[in-house]
Amino acid sequence: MVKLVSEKISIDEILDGMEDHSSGGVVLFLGRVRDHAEGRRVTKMDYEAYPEMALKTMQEIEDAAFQRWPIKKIVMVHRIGKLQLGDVSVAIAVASAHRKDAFAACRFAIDALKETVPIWKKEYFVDGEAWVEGMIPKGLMD
Amino acid sequence: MKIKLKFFGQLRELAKLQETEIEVRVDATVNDLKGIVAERFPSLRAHLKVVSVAVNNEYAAKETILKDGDEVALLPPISGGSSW
Repeated sequence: MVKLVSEKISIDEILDGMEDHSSGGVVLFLGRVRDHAEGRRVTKMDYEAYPEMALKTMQEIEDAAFQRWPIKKIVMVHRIGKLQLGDVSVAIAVASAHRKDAFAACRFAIDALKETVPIWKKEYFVDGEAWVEGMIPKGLMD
Repeated sequence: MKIKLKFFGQLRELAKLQETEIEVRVDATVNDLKGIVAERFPSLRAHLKVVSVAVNNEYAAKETILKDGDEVALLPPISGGSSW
């Protein structure tokens, strides 16, 4: 399941989606707004998505995770809009029979999200603002 | 033929536009379109070297041939995943 939301991400809802009696391990990753970036004090963050393509690429990541690991459930939720320090911007949960596969698939999913999903973030500092530019986005198979 | 062009992030701010329609010749490629955008939006010129282009929600190569009605998006750099 993939989702973009403009309000607070519900962790309860994500964990409800992990219900599966054959899964002994659930891994939950939360990405939060951090108070610093390259030595500057961050005060808030603004996230912008290309929604249709973001959902499509997130779904491709889930499909790839299901192909690579014997996982049972995966959920990816990203929040868009203005976020404050400490707010959860992204949540990924994976359930599998054994923890090893859940950890590996979750790690893959967040790394792939950061490289392929068209979502941009703008950091606000005490004395200015800047778009975060880490890498040119690319397809999952590129 | 006409294509729909979308801007995001810094490109949206610089172009002062979210989306627009652009007339291109039949069989124009993604690269041809970037050339037209560079002429039409001088403020974007320097940034066009570091964008990905999506055609109908798929990452597209620069040789990709456009079709009438395509939705093309200019995707500036995203945060990446290097420092975990």
